[in-house]
Amino acid sequence: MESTTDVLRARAAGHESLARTYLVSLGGHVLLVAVLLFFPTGFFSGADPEIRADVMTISLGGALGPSQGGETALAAQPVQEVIPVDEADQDVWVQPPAPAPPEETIAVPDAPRMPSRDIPVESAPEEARGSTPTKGPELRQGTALADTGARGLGTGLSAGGLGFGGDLDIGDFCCPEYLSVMSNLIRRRWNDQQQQRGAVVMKFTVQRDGTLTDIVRQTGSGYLALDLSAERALRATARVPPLPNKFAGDHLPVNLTFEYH
Amino acid sequence: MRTLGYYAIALQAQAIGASETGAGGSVVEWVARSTPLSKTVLLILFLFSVASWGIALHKLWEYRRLERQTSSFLDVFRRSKKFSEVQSVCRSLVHSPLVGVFQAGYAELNTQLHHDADGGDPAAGSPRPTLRSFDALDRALLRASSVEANKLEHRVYLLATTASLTPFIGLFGTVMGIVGAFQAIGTTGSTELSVIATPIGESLIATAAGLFAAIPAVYFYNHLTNRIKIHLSTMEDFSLEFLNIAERNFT
Repeated sequence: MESTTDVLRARAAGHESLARTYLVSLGGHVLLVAVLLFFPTGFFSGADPEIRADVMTISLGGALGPSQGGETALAAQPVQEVIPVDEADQDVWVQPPAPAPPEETIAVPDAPRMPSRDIPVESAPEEARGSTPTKGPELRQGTALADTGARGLGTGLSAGGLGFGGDLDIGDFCCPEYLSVMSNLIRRRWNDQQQQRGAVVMKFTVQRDGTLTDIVRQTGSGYLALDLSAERALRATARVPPLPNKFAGDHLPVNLTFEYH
Repeated sequence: MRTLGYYAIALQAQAIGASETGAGGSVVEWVARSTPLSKTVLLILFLFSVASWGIALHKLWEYRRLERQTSSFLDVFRRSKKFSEVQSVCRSLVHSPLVGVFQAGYAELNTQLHHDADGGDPAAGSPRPTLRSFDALDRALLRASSVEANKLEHRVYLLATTASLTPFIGLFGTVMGIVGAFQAIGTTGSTELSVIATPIGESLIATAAGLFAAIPAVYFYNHLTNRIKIHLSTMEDFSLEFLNIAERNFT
């Protein structure tokens, strides 16, 4: 006959192995990792993989600029830099020899005076001609960005309070002033009075000579009028100034966002 | 009404060179680029997650089978006239905790009644046998309940451990990753966002992995604990029912 303790001991002894469920769990985790491997790149970051990463992105519209009560664009102010003067072009300033002091003479009283002669002067003597002033280092508008520690408003294109705002990070692009000119040209031909809010992302390419090509709609606003207005602005602009020489590429892909408020 | 001056221009060319700085890439690529310490942390979290899911799935399956058998056992127990009939079905329902309680009570009952009656079924003995110690029977049932409760709770504590520990392990990995990022900043001397963002983003994966392991563990721990409470309550109820029957028949 089994005693109570024997029964309890037998009951307490039996524990099932977890090997099977551990294997199932491991398989599930491996499957999850495999799924992560094939996930699209922008799934977690929310970035649209269709928009190429090497495309310049500009948006028209956005936050108010300083002239409308917004914040002054502190970031990305152009800094003046010194143009280095080539060694060969530098003028060497030669010190002229000091004139020899006149010999000391003693005036002879009652000495006969030289008769005065009126010699007409027809041209200035060589010594009287002025020399070209020495040309030293000059200042010009630089392209480096001042690291003011401030982020956010202003593009750096808006210094002077033109009313531009929005985020700015022009990254490695060499010439923000060029983008300012290009954006202004497009903006002049853009009619944003559409009585409807929305944003349209247009993609186009600025060729080396300044022509706008490959104008396509990247992301629509959902309203035909807004989409057409944005496209019309680009087609009406058709040409912007040629790309700056500092820019190495032969074309500049741009994503332009038109924001309607 | 907006005027022309209200137009705002924003240049966002941070995308230029983003691919060059390595800011892009999938999660797996980020993990591949992380430091050995981060990889170790992620491996530990992976093992914790595998273990906690394994335990949770095992317990869910075990409790489901246990509940089915408990229901069958109670049905048999309440329909049977003799304890010996119930004892005969116990072999096929060994996973039910009530079977353990019953077997312990039955063994104690047999032991006590064996001295009064000469063999035979204690519940059906004639002349009527009596219990020598009702408290001893109660204690036997309590012991059995305790053993069964331990079996039910076996390994469930690992879920609580995973739930409380993994977020901290993940946080540790993140902190160490950020320390490494700042050291890299000190080395390169660059404080640009594109330089800082990538290593910090990579190190935050450890925290995400910690939460990934902890959240299911918390849910399963609460769920299983609740089910254990129900089983304990069922066992207590059954013990009282067993004692009542014993008192009615053997005192």
